Amino acid sequence: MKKNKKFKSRSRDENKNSPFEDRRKFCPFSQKNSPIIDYKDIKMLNRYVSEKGKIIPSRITNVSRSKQKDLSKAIKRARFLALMSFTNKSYF
Amino acid sequence: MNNFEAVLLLSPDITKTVRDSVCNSFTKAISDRSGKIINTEDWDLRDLSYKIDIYNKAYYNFFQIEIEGKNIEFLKKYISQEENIIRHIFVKVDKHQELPTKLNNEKK
Repeated sequence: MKKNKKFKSRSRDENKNSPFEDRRKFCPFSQKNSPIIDYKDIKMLNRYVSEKGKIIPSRITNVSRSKQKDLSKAIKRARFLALMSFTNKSYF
Repeated sequence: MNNFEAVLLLSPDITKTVRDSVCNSFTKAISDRSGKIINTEDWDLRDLSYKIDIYNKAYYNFFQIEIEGKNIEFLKKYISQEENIIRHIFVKVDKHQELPTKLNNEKK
């Protein structure tokens, strides 16, 4: 028992219910067989855009820094071709 | 020689024969500048998500091109003289994708 205290071990089952559990965050684009960022794939791009049509920051979506760069470029290209809207005013 | 993707938006008022002739003259302009077209795709009539000039719809055409980078300038100049092309984009890519593209797949 004393040894256990030394290693500060808390089993996983104990941690699971706590709200401060450190869940592993991962980038959705840098995994194996993850989707390729492309300006023609609007269904995928719409997931990273808010209700108003703004790009969602990477601290919320957990996209890595380099991939967020590609993503924002792809969204801007899709907007230019009128595949996506700059502003979504449908709810007015 | 580099790989490029091009998307052209054509105005919705013109007939199919005119549309074909616009695309043919575009391919001719590329071959004049010692480039070649690898693949083409027609995305048909689509709704625009915002108004461009006076149009709410447009015909989309997609090209996969192999051409030298400095010749793109001439193509842009040629496109600006064409009346029926509303908007265009050139994108440099490392490798060409396999067709059909996801946008085209989704609709059908």
